[in-house]
Amino acid sequence: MNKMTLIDKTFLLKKTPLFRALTLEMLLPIADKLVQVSFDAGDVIFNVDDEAHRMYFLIDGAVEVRGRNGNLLALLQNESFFGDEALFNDSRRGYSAHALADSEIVTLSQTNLFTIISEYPSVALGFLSVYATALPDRAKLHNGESL
Amino acid sequence: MKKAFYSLFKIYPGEERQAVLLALLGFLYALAVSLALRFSDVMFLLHVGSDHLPTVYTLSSLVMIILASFLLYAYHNIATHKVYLSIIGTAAFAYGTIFLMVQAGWDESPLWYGMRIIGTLCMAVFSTGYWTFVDQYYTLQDAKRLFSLFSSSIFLGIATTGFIMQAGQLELNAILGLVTLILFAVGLIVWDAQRRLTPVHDENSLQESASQGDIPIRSIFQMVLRSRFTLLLMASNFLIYVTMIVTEFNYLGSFEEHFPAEGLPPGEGEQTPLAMFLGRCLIGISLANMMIGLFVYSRLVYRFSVAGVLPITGAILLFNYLGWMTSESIIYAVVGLTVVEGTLYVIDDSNFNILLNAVPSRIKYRVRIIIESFFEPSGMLVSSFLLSTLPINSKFLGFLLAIAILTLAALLIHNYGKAIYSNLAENAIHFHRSVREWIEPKSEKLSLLHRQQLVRQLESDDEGLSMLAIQGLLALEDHALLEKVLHKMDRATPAAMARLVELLRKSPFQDDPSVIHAYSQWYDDETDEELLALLFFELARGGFIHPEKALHLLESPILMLKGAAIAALKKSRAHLPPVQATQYRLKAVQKQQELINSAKEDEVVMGLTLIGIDGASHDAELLVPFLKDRRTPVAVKAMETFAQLADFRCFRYARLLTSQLDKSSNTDYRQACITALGKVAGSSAVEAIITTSEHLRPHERRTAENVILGMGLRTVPILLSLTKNTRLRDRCRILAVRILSHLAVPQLHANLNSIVRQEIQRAAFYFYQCKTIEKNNPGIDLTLLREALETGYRSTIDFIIHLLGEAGEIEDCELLARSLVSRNGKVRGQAVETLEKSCPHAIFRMLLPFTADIPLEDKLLACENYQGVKADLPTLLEKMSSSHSPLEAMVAAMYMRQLHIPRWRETVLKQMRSHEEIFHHFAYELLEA
Repeated sequence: MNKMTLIDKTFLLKKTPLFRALTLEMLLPIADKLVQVSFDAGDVIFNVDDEAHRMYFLIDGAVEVRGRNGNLLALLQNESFFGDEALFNDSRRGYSAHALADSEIVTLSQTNLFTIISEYPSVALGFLSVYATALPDRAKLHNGESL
Repeated sequence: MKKAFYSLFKIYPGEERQAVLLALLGFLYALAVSLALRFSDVMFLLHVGSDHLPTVYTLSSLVMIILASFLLYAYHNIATHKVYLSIIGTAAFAYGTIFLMVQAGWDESPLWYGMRIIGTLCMAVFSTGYWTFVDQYYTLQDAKRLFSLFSSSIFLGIATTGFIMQAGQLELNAILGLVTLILFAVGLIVWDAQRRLTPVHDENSLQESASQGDIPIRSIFQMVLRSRFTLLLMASNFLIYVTMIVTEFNYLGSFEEHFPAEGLPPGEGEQTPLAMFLGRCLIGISLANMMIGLFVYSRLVYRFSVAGVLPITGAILLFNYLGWMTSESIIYAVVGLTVVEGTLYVIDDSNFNILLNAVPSRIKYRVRIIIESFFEPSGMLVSSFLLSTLPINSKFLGFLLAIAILTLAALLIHNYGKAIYSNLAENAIHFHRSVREWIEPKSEKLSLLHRQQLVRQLESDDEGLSMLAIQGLLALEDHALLEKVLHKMDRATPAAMARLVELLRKSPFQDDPSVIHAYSQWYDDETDEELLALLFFELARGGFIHPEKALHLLESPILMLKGAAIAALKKSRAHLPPVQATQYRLKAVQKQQELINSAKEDEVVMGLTLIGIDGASHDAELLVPFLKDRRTPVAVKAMETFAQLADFRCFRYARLLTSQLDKSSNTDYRQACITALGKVAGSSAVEAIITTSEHLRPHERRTAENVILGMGLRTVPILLSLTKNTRLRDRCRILAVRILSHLAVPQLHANLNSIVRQEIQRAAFYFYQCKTIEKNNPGIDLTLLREALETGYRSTIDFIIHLLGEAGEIEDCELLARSLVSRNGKVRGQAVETLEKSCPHAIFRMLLPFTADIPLEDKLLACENYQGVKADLPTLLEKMSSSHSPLEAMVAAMYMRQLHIPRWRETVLKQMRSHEEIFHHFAYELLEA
């Protein structure tokens, strides 16, 4: 996949539930902070107990999420995001993420995420909305259980 | 004893093990590579001769360039410790092989050439490997404090080499065996360290490693070329390498003259006068290096900053070459050796490690490899070329190079502060940039690509995305793009077209003929009633509907059509007899009034919108009753229209606007209110706007800032008095400082010292009490009090940082303040460095205990230097009860009551006189409980 431009990243953000409510003026500075990363099939994105500094948005490909015992927790498809929980509670990764196929991912650092939330509280509401909708699933994910 | 140790080596408690391990690593690697290099020097001089040194330089540089390419690739793709281990393993293998060759009796020139070349390669590559490995465990401020310790351990290694040479007890074979063994030990330590130690997380380097392969070499070079500081740093280091080789050539030549090697049996040389003399020099230089590294360098940097130590080497070389050009005295050769083996390591290498932090983070490590691996060989190549081809004396060449080094040092000093800040700003999110600035960057190619992508997104099935594209295209204010948008919207859904009308209303194309033409065409073709009404309203608002066409709609049940009819009567561009035009206007006003008087919210909003069409400042009076309306849409529309129409003649409403700004929580309302205040009250509204700015959101604060900035220089005296006013909340004072920094920097500078001193005293009080109050009063739950004190401390420090940042003309002080409390050590380190570069040194030193990552004990000691910091609990509560902050006053009142402090009721009643409503509620509850 070619390198994403600022416009590509902006439109990607607009598609996610977290940033749907933001206008172009608000999305562009956030998109500027997204870093695109390519993973080959089988690559480790992060492991259990790794330090958590970023969250991930899957653009293209497939990502498998596994718990501490190696049990499959979820198969993530395009436009999913993951790796966000540990950023909010300052813990280490509670699950591992591997690329199942060649995958394109963009990442956002914890520092930038917190700055964005303080500037645009609606992003926090976006997180709350996602968490509330998928609360049972997320709780399982957090506890390392299968979905 | 332990304390003296910490203080002597500037190590903080808890850091000892890591520091000792890495220092041991530095000592051992330096011992191994310097032993090998120095003995290869001696063997080469004695068996081959200094005339052949340029050949060695050429060969070494060619091999090193190839090796550096491998290293660049390796550091780009492989973990730092693995690269370092590979280097160590390869070197151990090479010296093991030479050991076996010497053991087997080899005594040919190629062996001495090979040994000398490998020695040079190891010196460069090991240094890169070591510092890249160490750097991942420390921040910039740690580097300033601790890297001199590591440098000293390296000098200790070199000094030990000197002792071994001086002793003359070991033969070449034993030396080679020892080197191989030490290298194995170095490998084991690196392996152990990478398992035990945790690197400091670096936002940008993580991005780097996460996107491996995504930064092509071409992009790295582009980034290097864009950073002036990086170019200067690279040029400076390149010149240093060239000078180092030229100086080495000069002193080796002098030594050869002073210590001739006649009648020396082949293969020997370990105990010649030259080796003994070099050994003595190395011992002296290395010990001096150690002393400077351990006790002088970091203190010099602390006292004068890195700028103060940058010109040292250039200056020494300049004076030395001045004498050396005319005299053959060995003293100049010894000073030359001292510079090459001493100051270049102890000062310039340490400077380099600090200066490297001002290189853009994404390319920082690559620049290190380029400089340390490519520049040394290239420097060697260039110097050997210069030495063998230039028709000038090699000492005069050295003199010219020294001048160039000094000039580059001056340029680096000049650019350092700016570069550090840009690096810090790389982490910032630029919320203040406009859509147009984002879409149209400096690169024309990228700008064109963005336009094409936005046009492509117009075709998206997702309406949200196509609207986003339209928003971007309209922001570019390009008529050709407007045509594209209008053409595309021909086929859009009514909802999308309605959204477009809204976007166009906020754009500069609101009254563009193409837009009016499109509205008119869509009006003719459209069947959706709501959209038709909206289009009709837009046309009427622009004056493009004849009143006669609209008259029958005055009683329409559709509000939009009714509003359009009123707008058409008010603002038609049609040519009408004056009497008839007046009649139409009267009719319009009458109908407009009916809407305003309506009980229905949407009708009132429409009425208020119509007042804004073709209205004047005297119409603003009509809006006043609605500014306090409980229905938010009504109040917002009233304030927006008021802001649109108001001018200085509405001055009498300034007080109302001020109170409304404080009361409302709606962002649109507040933005409009600030704009209105700026229009009606002029500079007399400054205090009101600043005082109420505490609760404003970031974009509202930006609006307030722009409004006050627009009032000009007449606001400076009031802004200065607000900045000094400690009764005002810190957030409000920050806004005053921000505006002042744009309007009157000299006045801000003139008052800086006194304000900062007063604030640091406050910060010291809060900090000291916050950290000691619970310990000094065991058995009482003082959590709330501690938290209130911490809030006060943070707020004060935030104010100081903003004040210093603005006075230092830092573009984004918010970023600086945030970075100083960042969870990321590397970011914090850069923020402290930026602060150091942007404020007077005396103030920076006063502030350092609060901003630097130093042990709590040291911070408390620093606080004790300020008067009135120590206070018992009743005195502290008394002091807090008179604070301007409601939080502090409430917490103080609560604890006074809880601890039965005498006359607490009287204190609370006194507090009520000076605090806002929120405190009164709290006080009543407390008094009645």
